[in-house]
Amino acid sequence: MPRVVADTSALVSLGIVAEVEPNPLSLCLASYDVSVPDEVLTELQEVASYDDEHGRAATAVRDRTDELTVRSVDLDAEFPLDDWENAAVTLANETDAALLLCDEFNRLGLVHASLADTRLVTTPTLLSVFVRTDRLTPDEARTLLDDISAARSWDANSYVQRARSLLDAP
Amino acid sequence: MSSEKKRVQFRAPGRLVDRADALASVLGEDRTDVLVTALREYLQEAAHDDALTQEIAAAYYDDEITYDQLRALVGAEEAANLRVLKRQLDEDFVDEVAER
Repeated sequence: MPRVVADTSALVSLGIVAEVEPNPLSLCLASYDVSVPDEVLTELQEVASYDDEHGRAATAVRDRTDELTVRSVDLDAEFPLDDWENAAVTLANETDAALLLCDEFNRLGLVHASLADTRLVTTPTLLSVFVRTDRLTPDEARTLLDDISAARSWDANSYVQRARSLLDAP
Repeated sequence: MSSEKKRVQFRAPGRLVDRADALASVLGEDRTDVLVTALREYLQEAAHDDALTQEIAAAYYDDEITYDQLRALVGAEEAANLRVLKRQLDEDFVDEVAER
């Protein structure tokens, strides 16, 4: 199975719809070997303590930790990134992961520039991929993206609006 | 537009407060009026800026402006973020990811 590294932001997005069937977290765990660095798991625990939608999403992912491959990495202090992003990028590079899942829209330029051969993929793109590979119908993907967007306050984001139209494409 | 008023307390640089007081004297208002007006205008501007950035991003995604124009408008760091997001919208990119 292709190796995929997920950062905290992407795991929280996937956790928001973890109770829906079919859901992209289960599809992801079934299609990829999903790895996370210790730092991401620590950050996820922190988010899980919040009494809000993000907290419940992080808890839903944390409850499935045994399906993730958790690894430790040596952080490269030169990276101008927060520890958990730094760790996710380092793990992706060290393990030559196929994909890095990341939804930190305001940091993507830096994250992308720090990756060697790994492709950076956001959750809206991941939903498109599941539609292309017939794991989700366009309707299911649109509903999932609507739910994630509402929780993440993405509604006014023009990238997310266009990603939604991409799901309409044949 | 009326809403319940809330009492707030904060520390600010002395010179800034002196300037607010001076302007209040000129306008025949009190310090609170000046500070509330400044805060309201700042918040409106900030909200508008985000909306504007989203419009600029949309124009870039739709090929109405070039990457260089985008960079001139939003700066190098934000332009780099938006370039990564535009690539996410590329059908060929999605196909490549799907095929792995």
